[in-house]
Amino acid sequence: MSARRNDKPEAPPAGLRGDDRGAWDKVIAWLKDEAHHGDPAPVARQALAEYRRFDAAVAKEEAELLANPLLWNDEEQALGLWIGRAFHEFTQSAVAALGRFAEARVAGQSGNDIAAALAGLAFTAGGAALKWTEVAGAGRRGAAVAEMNRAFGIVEALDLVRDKPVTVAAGRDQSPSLESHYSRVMLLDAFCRGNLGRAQVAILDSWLWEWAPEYRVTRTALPGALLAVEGHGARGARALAAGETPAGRLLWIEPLGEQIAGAVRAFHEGSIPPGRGISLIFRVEEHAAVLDHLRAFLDIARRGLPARQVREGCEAFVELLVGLPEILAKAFSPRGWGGNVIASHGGGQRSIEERQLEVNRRRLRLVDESASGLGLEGDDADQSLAVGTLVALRREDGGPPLLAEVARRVAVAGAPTRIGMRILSGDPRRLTLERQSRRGQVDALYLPGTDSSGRADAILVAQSDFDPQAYLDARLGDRHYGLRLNRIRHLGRGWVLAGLEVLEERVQDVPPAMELSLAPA
Amino acid sequence: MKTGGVMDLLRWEPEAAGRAPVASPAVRLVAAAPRARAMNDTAFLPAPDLDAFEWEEPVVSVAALQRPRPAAPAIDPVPEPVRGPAPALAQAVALAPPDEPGRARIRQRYFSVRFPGAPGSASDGKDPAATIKAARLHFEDGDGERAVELLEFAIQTSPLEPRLWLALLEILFLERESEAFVRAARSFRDRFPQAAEWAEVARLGWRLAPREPAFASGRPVVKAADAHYGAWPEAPNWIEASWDLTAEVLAVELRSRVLRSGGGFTLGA
Repeated sequence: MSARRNDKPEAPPAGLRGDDRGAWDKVIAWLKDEAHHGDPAPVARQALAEYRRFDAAVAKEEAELLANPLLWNDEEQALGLWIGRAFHEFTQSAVAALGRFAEARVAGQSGNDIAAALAGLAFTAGGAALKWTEVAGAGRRGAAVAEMNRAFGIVEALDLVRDKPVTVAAGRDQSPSLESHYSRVMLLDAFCRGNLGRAQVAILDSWLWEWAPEYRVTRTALPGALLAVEGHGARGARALAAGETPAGRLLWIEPLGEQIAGAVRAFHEGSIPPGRGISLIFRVEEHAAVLDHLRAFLDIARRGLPARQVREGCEAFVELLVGLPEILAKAFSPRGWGGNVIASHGGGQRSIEERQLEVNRRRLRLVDESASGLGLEGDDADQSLAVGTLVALRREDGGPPLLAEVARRVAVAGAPTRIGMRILSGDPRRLTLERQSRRGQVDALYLPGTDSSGRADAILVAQSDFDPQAYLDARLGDRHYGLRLNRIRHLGRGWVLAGLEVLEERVQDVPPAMELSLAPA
Repeated sequence: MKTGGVMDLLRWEPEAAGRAPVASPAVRLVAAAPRARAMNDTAFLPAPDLDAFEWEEPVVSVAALQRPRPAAPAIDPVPEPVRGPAPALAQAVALAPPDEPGRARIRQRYFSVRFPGAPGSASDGKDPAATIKAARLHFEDGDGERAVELLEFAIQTSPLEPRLWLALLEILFLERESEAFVRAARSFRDRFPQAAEWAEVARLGWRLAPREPAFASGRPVVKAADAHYGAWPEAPNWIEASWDLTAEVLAVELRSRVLRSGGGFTLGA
């Protein structure tokens, strides 16, 4: 369907559900056509008006979609993807009109306010496209970054970098400079790589609207945190390698340190920054997770990326056990891994247990490997592999099993889901702990650290089993060790990696009168 | 207000003259959101009830755009940022800052998320030993930033507890955070001008920030008195680390026994 140019479709409804989207598709297609063939000034007015209308319609859906902690149903997934695509098409229209306007201006026309407004619209819609694509779990939208680079190139050529057109985002008027707009979308893109949850993306977006005015796009290496930005193409911002001489277009984000500190102060005072907007409806946990991402990001931007670990393209399959209960039940049993199930197929009738094991088997293609992580590809049908999920995995072509955590998940329509794994340990040990206060056992994994002093060792337990006050008894041979899990080092999805302190050691099977206690004084 | 430029599209007009532009014409609040409760319990409440709002079509003054533009300059001045109307949702959740119980809840929630596993008594500084121990564990795990934040968090509610300040100062010293150390040291001196520990604080501070006048008294009188090889022999123990190494020895023994006992992953077939 393509409406004849200048034949504007009817105003779309205020909603986005069901058939409403079809009406919006017509308007967006018409705008795109106008942007490529119409006079840029009227196109700008129409695009801005329709964008404001569209933003209001999205704002109406946003809270319901983003605050939903459950997996989206098909309708919600379709809506999220459609919103991301629609924002991207607004971006394309704005950039196309901006490009045509720039060409006309070279011929002697004026009207930089229109150009600035179009650029503001392009960046606002582009940022929203990045956000919604990430929210919908559809992978990175590199095309949006390419549009942003094109728009900023025009903005620089027209000397509009400091202009502050008023635009609208989530129903709120915003007017950062075009430099700030560009900084914001580049940072948003740098974060939207599959490791943020829906709420976290929305929180980050709301913070960046507040914070981006303090960042600078520069060609001079200012002191502090810097990112390199390629001025064209879809790559976006990247961390400098440690020792790399900064050159070309740079994004200076050193104020992020003080901005993080400001957000932390707000939480200490009992308020949720920025104190307004949709992010207020999200749990404090989500905000704290975003702050952790920001701290890690800032650290890399300040110090540079360490020499990259060896990462080799590889083609193999890995077998996965998912979740602590399954790992405890199968990873330590010779019959637990699927290899035995396959081996038993030739033996005739399979047992129920074997069939259950086979049903639960998960195989993913190993596409990338380094010392600290793995990249896997697989069928998107397995939604259990969310970020933070604990897995044990084993290469089918040999090699020792590994304990890992899902660190990143990117689902792109029509392509296999890509999953990044962070390796936790190559040598976890199963450990059974007895609770002293209330009867019962805690099944745990002991993760030896690299330091032989035991200082970096940790115990992994189900989150429900973690109790920092509980006295736990570990029996190893003729010795009992009294332990306390006294802090959480890392919190996963339903599991906890805890630091431990050893309270005492007792020798078993010694008459009570002679029992030797080595408890600290 | 200037009119006639394309920028007018981007502004919200107040509904009537003399009325503050606080309500978006596009999104009008027709029913009050549960403001007090929402702010009291921001972190735990579900999204505001969207049925409480009436959504309207945006009103865009296209007519103004059609007025003849001034001959020159053709470009309207860039308006100052318009921080005006927010949508109904934003208004609903940002009507007022949280009241005191609400703030306390957010603080407590933040504490439990940021310092998971730390005893609740460590949050308000009422149990300095628990707070300092939790901070020391973070520091020993290589997370000095979190250790510092925990102590600052507790100091906010117990600013008159000197042990918390001293532990903070020691960790900042060990982390070589000179600017933060200077700030914390000044605050400590303001609150505890007679503290006997000030001499030690100044001694540490002079090594981090020798140009800071407050630490002038920390400069060693006799240069030789400060000479040493390896680790500094006269460090304070305000983070209350145990001198007893039995637990460390037991940790090595436990590790050794766990690794010897097997119990690792099986390789399968």
